[in-house]
Amino acid sequence: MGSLNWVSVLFFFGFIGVTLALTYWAAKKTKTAKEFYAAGRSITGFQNGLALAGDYMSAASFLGIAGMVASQGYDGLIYSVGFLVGWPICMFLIAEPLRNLGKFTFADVVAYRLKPRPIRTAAASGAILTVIIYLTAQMVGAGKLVEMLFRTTEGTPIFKYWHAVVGVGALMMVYVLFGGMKATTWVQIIKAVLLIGGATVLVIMILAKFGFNPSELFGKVDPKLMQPLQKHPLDRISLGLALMFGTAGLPHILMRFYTVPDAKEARKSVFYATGWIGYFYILTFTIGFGASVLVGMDTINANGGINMAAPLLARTLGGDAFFGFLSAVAFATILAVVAGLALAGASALSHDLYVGVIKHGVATEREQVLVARIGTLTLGVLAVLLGIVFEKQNVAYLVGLAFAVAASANFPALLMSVIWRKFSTAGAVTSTVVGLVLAIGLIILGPDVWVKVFKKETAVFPLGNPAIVSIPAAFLSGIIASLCCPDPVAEAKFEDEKLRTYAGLGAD
Amino acid sequence: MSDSHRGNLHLLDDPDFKDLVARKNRISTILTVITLIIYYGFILLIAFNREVFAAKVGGNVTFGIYLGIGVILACFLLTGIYVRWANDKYDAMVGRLKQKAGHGQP
Repeated sequence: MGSLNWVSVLFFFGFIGVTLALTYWAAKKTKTAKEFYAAGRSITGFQNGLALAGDYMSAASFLGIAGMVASQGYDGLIYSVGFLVGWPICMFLIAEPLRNLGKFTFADVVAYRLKPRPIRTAAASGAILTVIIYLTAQMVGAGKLVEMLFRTTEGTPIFKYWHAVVGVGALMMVYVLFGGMKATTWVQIIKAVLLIGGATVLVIMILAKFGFNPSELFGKVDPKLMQPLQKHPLDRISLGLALMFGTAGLPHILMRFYTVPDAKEARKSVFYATGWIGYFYILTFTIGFGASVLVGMDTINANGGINMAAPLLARTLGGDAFFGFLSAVAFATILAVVAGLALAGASALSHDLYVGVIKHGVATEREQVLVARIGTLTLGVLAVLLGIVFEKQNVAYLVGLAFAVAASANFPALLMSVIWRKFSTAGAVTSTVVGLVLAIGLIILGPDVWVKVFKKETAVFPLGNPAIVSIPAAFLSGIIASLCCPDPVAEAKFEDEKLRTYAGLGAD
Repeated sequence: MSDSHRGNLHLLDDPDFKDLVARKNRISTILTVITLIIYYGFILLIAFNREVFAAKVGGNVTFGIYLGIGVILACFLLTGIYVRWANDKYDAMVGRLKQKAGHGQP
């Protein structure tokens, strides 16, 4: 233990100390359901923009994309662009109606004029599955990362995999249980500032090596990395669809729109989020290309694989101190994303399933907050267990799966409920179920699971991402079911729903 | 669920409200279509002409890098255009409507 990275440990405990103090402060202001789920709607557009960026920039996008660019070049950049284009879509189609119509979850919006119990059951299932899949990916990532990052100089891991998984689970539960959305939001904001700041410093260090002339850097990059890989066009389009429409269906992102006072702040927050995230992705692929030149793939592969590209570059350029700082930031990143996910899952469990379905929408404040805390605890324990069970699995496909489920099960029903008068209860349930089953089913039958996990010869479904089939199928089945089983009461409510959707009249 | 807009149902037939809905839908649709064209233009170019990405444009920086940064900037710009429109025009229209509804404050 004598030679472990003290800078890293210092930042690590510094972050935990500050966030726990924040949680203590937030806990005093977290009594009602509105405070627990939505921080009392007290977050400004600017703050929420940073918090959205914090929720969205997972370790997968920081370490994963930098690593992908270092190893596969331009294909990593394509991913980062795909992750960003969902934001304008979210702004133009979803953000304001969502804020005006709902209270805590996106199911509020779908259930607004349709029959609440079947809608909430279906929508909450989509939300909870998306959250669990994403959560599992983050937990496994956290365990692996901590194992690799926190080592003695002799290379022995200081923490075991399960230490990290349990630690992340426990800290996340403390933030969410006691501090609710307020603490979670501030954890996101601190993490976003640290991550963007750290990545900016790293890019400045890279550019300094090349006389601040990007042309010098790209001149040293292997020309093979500057060209997209040969892939089937349908594969490209399908992944593009999932990334683009997945963002507007991620429960932990959608939930953040309820933390601001009104639609105006909601739209401002998307603008800021798009700016921060876009800037961050430009930094991330520069880091990836920088790592390919300054560290080299041989060193990266010998030191923990492609996820280590960014931290190793930090060590090359800034020594152990900067490596320690960036490792602590990466850890903070995972912790913050996991907290946001747990809160979103807990809100679906308690607000949608318990209050909306079991209690028919009637529950006291005390009861709502209590059930939300039990939901958080359940999800926290589940996340730790899944993290331990999936340790040996390659979970890269899980983030893609989470986006595919969000884009296929959550997004179509949400969009149709806002824009289409004739959308009925049967249509919403059918669309959600079809999207959910197809997204998961086709991933299982596809190359990532059928071939790589089950070791079968060829995939039943040839594409890595199901979105090109599952998104149109979710829309189409929703339309057909709505036309077959119309909902006259819901149709009649569409007009007066408009006052709220467009003008925010009567919005919570 | 709050139903405080129930007393304002007459606004549904107000030409100002109809105008507001039409304008909001038009700008949302136009900006969504532009986003889709930019992004799928990018994806289709990747799928069908990947050589062009490695072409050097001034110095060693490739066309693909400019294009990637360009798509990211375009997204930011498009959300900026929407926010600008909504803050200036849309909120003013909503404000006028709320006055009619008797909600003094925006």
